[in-house]
Amino acid sequence: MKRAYILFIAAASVLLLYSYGFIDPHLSFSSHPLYVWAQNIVVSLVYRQSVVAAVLYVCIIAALFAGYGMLLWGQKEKKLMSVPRWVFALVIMFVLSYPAFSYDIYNYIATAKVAFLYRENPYVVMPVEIPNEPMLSYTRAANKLALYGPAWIVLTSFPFIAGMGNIFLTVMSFKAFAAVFYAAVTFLIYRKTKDLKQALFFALNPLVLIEVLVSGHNDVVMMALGLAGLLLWNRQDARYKVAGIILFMSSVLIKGATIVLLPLFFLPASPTGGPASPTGGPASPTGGPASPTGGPASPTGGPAWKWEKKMRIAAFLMFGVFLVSPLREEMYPWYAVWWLSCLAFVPIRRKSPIHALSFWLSLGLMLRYVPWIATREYGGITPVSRIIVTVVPVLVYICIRFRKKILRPFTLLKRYL
Amino acid sequence: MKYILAAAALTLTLGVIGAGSVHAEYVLPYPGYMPGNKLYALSRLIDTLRQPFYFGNISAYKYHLGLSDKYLVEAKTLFEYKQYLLASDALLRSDSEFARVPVYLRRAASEGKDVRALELQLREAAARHTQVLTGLQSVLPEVFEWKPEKSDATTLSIQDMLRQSGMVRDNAVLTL
Repeated sequence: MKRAYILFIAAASVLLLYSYGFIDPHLSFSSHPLYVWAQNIVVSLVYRQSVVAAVLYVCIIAALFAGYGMLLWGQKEKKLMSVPRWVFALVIMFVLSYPAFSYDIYNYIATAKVAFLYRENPYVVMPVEIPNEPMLSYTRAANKLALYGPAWIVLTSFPFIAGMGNIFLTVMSFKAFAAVFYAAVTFLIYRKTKDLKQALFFALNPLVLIEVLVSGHNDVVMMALGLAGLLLWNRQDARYKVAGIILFMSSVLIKGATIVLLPLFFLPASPTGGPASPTGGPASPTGGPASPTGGPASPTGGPAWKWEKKMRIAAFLMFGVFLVSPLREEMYPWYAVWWLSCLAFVPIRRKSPIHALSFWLSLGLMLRYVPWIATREYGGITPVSRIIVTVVPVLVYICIRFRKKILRPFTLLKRYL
Repeated sequence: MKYILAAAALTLTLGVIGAGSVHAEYVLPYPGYMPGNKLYALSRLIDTLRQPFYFGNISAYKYHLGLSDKYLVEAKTLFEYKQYLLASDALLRSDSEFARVPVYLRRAASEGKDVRALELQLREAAARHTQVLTGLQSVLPEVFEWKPEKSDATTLSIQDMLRQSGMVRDNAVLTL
């Protein structure tokens, strides 16, 4: 635990400073000489010594994943009893970091500005159609109409108002807003599974930390509402069911990806309605499911496997949408939040291949930024390099995990010869 | 050498002239459902129902200019098919929508929004509309008497109507 703590805090501290090197040249959060001096140092590192910046990024990612692996799989069946206090410090550090790896947060702000400051319909008027808007100098995709659903646009009114017209405060408000939903998903996972390890599987995944807390992507908002909707739908009370439907529809009206979870509403719910077992959820003391065959698990007689099975299906459905996402644009790392948040409800076993695979795929997805940081180009070798760095960690894991099966034909051939 | 210089000068001249004349012409929409089509009434209803969606002054500008374009094309098509009564109705609707456009533009400007590009677009739209109206003026009769089988005849002063439509466009541009 202590090693994991050191790795996480060290990586978060470096990332906090390093991230400000990615600030857009047309944007400045402060004119204070100390801030300008510090920013110039990291900016020159990122923009002028891009290979060094890429190596530094790899080191940060390696440290985060090492800490994450140690925390989840390094401990010998010792159950975590409470959230380590350093996790809160970690979250604050990530929220205070600059959204270095994506311009999406500026797109959210620009759309909110069109809707709430200029009082124009963001589905009709693009930010670029208000040419005297100062944000245009550092906002990407300003020539597009609102990219997200109306529920998201309504929700952005809160962080937009909280920003009080100051760009730094607005960026931080949007990030804090994402952090609230990140906390909500973590809470839902813990409430349902009653296992802190499950919650930390989601909350401390470096991909989740960076894409949600650093970049402030709205995928976590969509998933929080979708999962809350699904949870409430499983309650017996009709009022909860109605609330569940409203939350789920709001989730769909953010990004649309959660629509694939709709069939889960038609699957039979657990008769107990709440968590599978009052003593500790569906997971057995060893971390495995109470009954892999799907039989009754809890002393109350409720088929506890149903919720777990539902979430397993949810994770696969969201993973399916994630896999087909390149048909629309490309496989963005933050789309992994969709299936990671569902997978966190599935009990983590010591050799659980889906959880281990999620670890390596998350690592591969975070490495997608390396070619861009090193070359500062989206074209050239960057697209191919991105595919390679994403696939290699997964292939390495598959080769190691299933080496016996892979090598079996060769062994048989050797024996035959 | 002199041929090379002449070729270079010619290329440069053509390039400069070409670059200077690069211009995105204002394009009118393709005609949608026309009167007589079963979906025409529905199309008109949707046009009305869409209005609240276009809240905001730039949005409203786009809405009214879009409708004005649409109804002008409808009027032009109907005039060409000698459906003068229906065409006159479409033209009046186009005029009414066009007359509203500068109002929203002024309101947007008063809100501090830079509307210079939209003003330019409106001038181009007015010029394109006027071009269509001038084309119609040259082929349509001065007056036409529309005689339905079971009701009274209607006299349509087509040329007056076209002149009036042209004035609506001119006035809109003058108020900018």
